[in-house]
Amino acid sequence: MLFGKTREDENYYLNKAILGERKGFEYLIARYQKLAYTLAVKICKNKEDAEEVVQDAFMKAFRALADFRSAAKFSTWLYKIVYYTALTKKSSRRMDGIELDEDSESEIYLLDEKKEFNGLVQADRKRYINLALNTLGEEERVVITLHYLGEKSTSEIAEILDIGKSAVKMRLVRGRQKLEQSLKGLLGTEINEL
Amino acid sequence: MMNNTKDKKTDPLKCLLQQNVMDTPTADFSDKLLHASMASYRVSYSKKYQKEERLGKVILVILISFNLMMLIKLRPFGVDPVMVVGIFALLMFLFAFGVHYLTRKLRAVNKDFFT
Repeated sequence: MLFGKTREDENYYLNKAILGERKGFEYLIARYQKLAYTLAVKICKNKEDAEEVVQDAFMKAFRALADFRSAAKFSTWLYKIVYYTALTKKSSRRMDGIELDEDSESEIYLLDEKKEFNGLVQADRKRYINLALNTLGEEERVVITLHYLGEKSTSEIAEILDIGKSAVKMRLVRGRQKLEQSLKGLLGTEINEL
Repeated sequence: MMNNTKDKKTDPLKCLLQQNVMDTPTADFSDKLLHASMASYRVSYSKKYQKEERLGKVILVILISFNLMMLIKLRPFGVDPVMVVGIFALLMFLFAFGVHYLTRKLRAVNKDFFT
């Protein structure tokens, strides 16, 4: 019921944006920018590049806004643009010879340590979980981000990444297993709930 | 199905990731994004609108020309075609002026939107 209401709201504001109304744009940006930004950060591993990617993606998506009649289709299209723009950005950075991976050896070393998580402050907790996520392959990381943070279904993820549903499911299972493994070392007793 | 839905909602990995992994862009960036997106939409919309408007005008001129040619050829009521064309032109002028007058408010809104 609640889900249906959200979809209705999204479609309502999508139509407002098509008519050029500011509140339509405000709603769509507020609703989709977080996941778009997170997705871009997870691929580019650089906040400045991620901001550029998100801005480019939104501008491209809004240029085709009038062709969409459903917000679900629009968001899938938007995340697809974010994904491909981020990949292009990353490969162009690689060609420029700029190292993007923020994981230093010392940070990876921290992953191996069986640190007690309970004593760590929130910022560290966030950093450790991000590190665990960074140990996954890029596609697994993207699938995990879209599924757990964006609450996207397998078919939506398949559409965004242009791969089959079974490939998405496989990456999801594999990514989850790897993540659990990494987090077990990091989070100690807390992860037992998983 | 019910269990599956429940599992999804209470999945500890999902909660953990949602609390710690989501990156939030700055308010300044969100503002910039809003302005850039609206500007991009307006430019693409106005270009599309201009193209459609031009095409519509061309089609209208062709149709009216054919209608006038038919009218002159058929000589309705046996009246001089020059007079028929004159009356038709007057009616067209009144219609166009009426449309222009009635849509002035709408055009003002569009002008604000595209500038």
